Amino acid sequence: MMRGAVVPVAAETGAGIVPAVLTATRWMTTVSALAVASVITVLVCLQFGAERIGVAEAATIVWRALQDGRLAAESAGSSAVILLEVRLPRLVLGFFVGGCLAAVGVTLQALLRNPLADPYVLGVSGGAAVGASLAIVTGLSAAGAVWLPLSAFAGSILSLVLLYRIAATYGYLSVHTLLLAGVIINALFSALIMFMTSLMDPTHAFRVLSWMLGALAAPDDIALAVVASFLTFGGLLLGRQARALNLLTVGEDSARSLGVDVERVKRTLLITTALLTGAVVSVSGLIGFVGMAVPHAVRMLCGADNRLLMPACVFAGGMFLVIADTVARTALAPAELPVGVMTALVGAPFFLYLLMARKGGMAS
Amino acid sequence: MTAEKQSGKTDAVAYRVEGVAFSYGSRRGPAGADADGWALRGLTCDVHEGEILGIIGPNGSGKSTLLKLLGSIMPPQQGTIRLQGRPLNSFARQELARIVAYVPQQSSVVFPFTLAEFVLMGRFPHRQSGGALGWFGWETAEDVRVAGQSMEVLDLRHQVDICAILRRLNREQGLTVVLVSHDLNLASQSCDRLLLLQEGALIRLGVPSAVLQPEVIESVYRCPVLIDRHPASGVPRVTLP
Repeated sequence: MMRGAVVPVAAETGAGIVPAVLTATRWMTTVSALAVASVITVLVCLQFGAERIGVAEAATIVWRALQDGRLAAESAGSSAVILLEVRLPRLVLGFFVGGCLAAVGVTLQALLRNPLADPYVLGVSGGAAVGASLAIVTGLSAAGAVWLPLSAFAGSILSLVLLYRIAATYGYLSVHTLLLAGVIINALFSALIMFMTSLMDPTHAFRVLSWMLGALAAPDDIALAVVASFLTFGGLLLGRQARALNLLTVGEDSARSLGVDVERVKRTLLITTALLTGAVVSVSGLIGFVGMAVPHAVRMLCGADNRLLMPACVFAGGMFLVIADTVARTALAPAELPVGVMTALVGAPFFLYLLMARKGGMAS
Repeated sequence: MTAEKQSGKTDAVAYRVEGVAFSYGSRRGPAGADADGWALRGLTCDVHEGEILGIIGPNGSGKSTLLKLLGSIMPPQQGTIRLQGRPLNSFARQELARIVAYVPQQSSVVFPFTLAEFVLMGRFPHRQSGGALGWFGWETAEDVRVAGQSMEVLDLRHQVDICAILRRLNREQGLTVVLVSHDLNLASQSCDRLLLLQEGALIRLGVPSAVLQPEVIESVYRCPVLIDRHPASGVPRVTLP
């Protein structure tokens, strides 16, 4: 079908229509605009909380911490301590988590040529959650801080290997089988988590429940550094494959014939996404909707080219989760909503709006 | 033009296919001695440099499978395929992609890529951004092009357009074209030679007038046909009685 459309449009383009392709200028403009927007979003969200701290004051405290170090800035007063010890780390963590989720979502959607794909659909998050729940049930998580994230990685890798074993036939991964296998694995993992929850004593069950809902808390520096390094490393790996990913969205045969080593690229992308998912789930639990909705929204605004879409989604996903978490913290203050509930509540109408706006735009 | 090409270029071989068998069943072939599992069974043929070769045959005769093997989308279980004298599996992916372009039957366009972005994806094996951009994904491959059978879904004008472009590329740049078609008349008019397949085996290979014989087509397609001459070009024309 697409091939058919090529002929007349190519002829028309010769007559002077500027081709809509991704240029270096557009890439730079979009990415820097999003980076600035992200900084502004974090600064604005900093003021909200149990105690209101003005934007100007917040900016001053952050600026001071950047210049003189955190300890010197915290000596200024209690609001500085709240800001630098609680709010800022949580916001930054939220930003990283949102960025990771969106990057994973955009990768899986392109890889599976399926707009419904995200780590939750494929059961990769479910695997991570099973690993984490096991660590909680067995008491392993109490033995040391590293065991929870390690178990989550192990779980997501396990679900990925399972997925591969089920879906791969004859060296090839069929897109439909993979998706179906993901749904089944996810169902199995959900059942496992529920089974474990029913065996737990109430305090453990509550922890697993909050895990399942997805919640952010102020992290220590180590957790923050771990997530940051995962996002950087994983993001670079995914970004390197963005061009190949573009070709994969058209079809595996086309990509293969254009010189993409399809199996290797798929393996790299799936393992990277599993690691990112494991890292995210270990610090924040199961936060849904970000990985599915953010790539969609960004794609409507910046087009489908993954070279731009990938970094744009990292920023947009980060901003989305920061805003969602701020609302979750303040809407029912002093009580807190799980951010996973917020992302769905905030994300769904926003997504619907974009969808309808686009439909109207296309009709006119 | 056909005669000219026949006399001028028949010596050079783009593809040499020798004893190629392929099964979708497993890596080693169909289970046990089940002969029905083969999609292609011991096929031997040549594709000449600079020709347009049309693969024809009934549904399930192995047309698409042969095309995929030529495009190196999948490796055959038995036999060898040589491209310009070298075994197909000795090419690196990128290297092959600069020589051969494969256009599948269907491309999924799930995401809103613009047409120009889509076209520029064809530059992937060349690793140069911008520059002289080929408007077609097609102009990626310098030598051989393996076309899919998407033409059936196109209306008359687009079929004519595609065929005209293929012929132009073939004539002006010496592009070798292998295409799969269900439309025998389109194949007859646009191809230098036809390759007729039945149940994974080669039945006939030659110029359209040699392949499109009433008794051959009737036995392969299991349906009575009338074959006369096209009033303008003189190539065989197949119609139902």
